[in-house]
Amino acid sequence: MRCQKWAVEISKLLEGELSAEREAELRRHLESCRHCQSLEARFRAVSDLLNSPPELPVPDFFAQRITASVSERMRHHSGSRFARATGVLRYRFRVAVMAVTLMVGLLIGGLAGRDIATLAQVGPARPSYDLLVLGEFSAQSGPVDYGLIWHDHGEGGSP
Amino acid sequence: MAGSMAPLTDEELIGMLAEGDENALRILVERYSASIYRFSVRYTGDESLAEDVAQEVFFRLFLHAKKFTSGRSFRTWLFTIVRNVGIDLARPYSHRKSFSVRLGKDSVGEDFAPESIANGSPTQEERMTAQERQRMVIEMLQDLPEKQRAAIVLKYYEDMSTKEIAEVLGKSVSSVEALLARGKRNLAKSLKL
Repeated sequence: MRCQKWAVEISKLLEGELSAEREAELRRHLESCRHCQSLEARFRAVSDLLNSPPELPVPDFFAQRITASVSERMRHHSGSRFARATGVLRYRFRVAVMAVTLMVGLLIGGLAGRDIATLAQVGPARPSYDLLVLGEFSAQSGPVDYGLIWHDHGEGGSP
Repeated sequence: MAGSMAPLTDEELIGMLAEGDENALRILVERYSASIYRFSVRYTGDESLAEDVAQEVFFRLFLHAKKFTSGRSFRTWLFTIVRNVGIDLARPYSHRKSFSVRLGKDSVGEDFAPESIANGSPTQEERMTAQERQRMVIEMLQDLPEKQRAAIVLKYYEDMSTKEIAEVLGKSVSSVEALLARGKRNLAKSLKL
């Protein structure tokens, strides 16, 4: 345990990450310390073992499978985002349509109401040409004769 | 004309990926999927998890692409995500004592004595095939505490500097140096050296 502080230095030495000054100091210590000599040998064996295996083989079509599955998830995610966005828009559109319908309804209703009021006051507008049905009525039995005539009222005149 | 164009940098690709560019995804997968696969197998000890890890990593890259800041190293950011995904996906199986590393048909011979490596005796070691050594190393790595395992794998197989590992693990450089030393000491114990 007395050489605990050297463990990191030995590890760094094997990784080539020790400064020249620290390396010289460590090597002086290693000359006289059997414990650290043993530690260095064990660390070196571990490093050799870690470095020895060849590259792990990657399964065939690995990249293609990853690209295909992630692309699909991306599309699905973007689609969901679009659906959420358009869902809000659809709601707003419905509200706008209802508002416009209401306004148009009120406008038409208002105009119609004004026409009805006008009609009540002045009566229906008369056409310039009118089809009149003339009939003769007897007091007892109703119409006994009738006929159709075109009657030209003229310009705003009355028959 | 296309041949004279400089290849897109990782930073440019991640910017394109943020906009949902599938071509950027394809290039990033081609660049990094093998590296992620190898890290995952060594880190989780489970070959069957590696594809799930890689898929999740690239999907998280897409989700968080806008958070990537250009001053940062893309590689350390990527491996921070890889490690996090590895932790998340390996957690449900963390109770397992045997690992499904299917790298070779033959098991390590019972007569294998790891101390032969330290002794410099080549006979036992040479009897091991490369695949057997591969599997033995991966199984030994699974016995290490998570941070030591991550530090060792990033150091020895991803060629990361101590500073880069410190970024990935969110630790100081001196903490990573200590993790590496403790990791080697534990591996030496596993090897009965």
